[in-house]
Amino acid sequence: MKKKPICDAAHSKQSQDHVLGLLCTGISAQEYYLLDNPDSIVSSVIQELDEYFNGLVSQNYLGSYLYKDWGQHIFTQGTWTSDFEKSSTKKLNDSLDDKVYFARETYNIHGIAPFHEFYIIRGSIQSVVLMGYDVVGQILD
Amino acid sequence: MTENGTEYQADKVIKIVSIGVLRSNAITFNPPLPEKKITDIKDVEFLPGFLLFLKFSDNFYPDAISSEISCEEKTYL
Repeated sequence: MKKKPICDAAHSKQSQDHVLGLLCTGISAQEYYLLDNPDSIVSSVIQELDEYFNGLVSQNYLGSYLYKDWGQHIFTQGTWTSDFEKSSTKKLNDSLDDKVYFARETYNIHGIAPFHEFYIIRGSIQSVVLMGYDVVGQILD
Repeated sequence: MTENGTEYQADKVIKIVSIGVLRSNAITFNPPLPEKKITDIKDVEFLPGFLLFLKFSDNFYPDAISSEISCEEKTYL
């Protein structure tokens, strides 16, 4: 079993439920995708975790899961940008004849340099908001 | 123009869809996107992925366990 960061998804959420959450991207996700369907992915994850928790995962699993495939969802088609180099945004951000503009975390022109008191990187929610402001500023200018 | 045929007109448009959606060609640009723009969109590292929550009868696990993994293999559980 590959080592993976694990957290209690219900921690500090005033919930009576006991939930583990798996956020899986990249190569690991592609390996799970080979299993074809969510039920098979769940079985595989439980099997992996059982090795770590000495069988307690399958013993305590209630048969209930929530699966959100951002890689296949029509409105996302993936997760987020994992390339933090701002150099690759130079042409990417160009508008189309000053008529069509692009704004999302991918288009972050600030890279990993501090922006005011924050580090705003590609792949972050803050980056989405920031680039929205930037593009509106371009249009108004 | 939307999928059901509704047409909206504007002088300026801001596309806030993900790079993944742009790559999927779910949106038709007329005129088509410049080749350079298409290449740039394809060059961005934008990973697939999913979110999975499993429900248990008891809390048999600690609050968190952390371990190192490679950048290419981002898995958070």
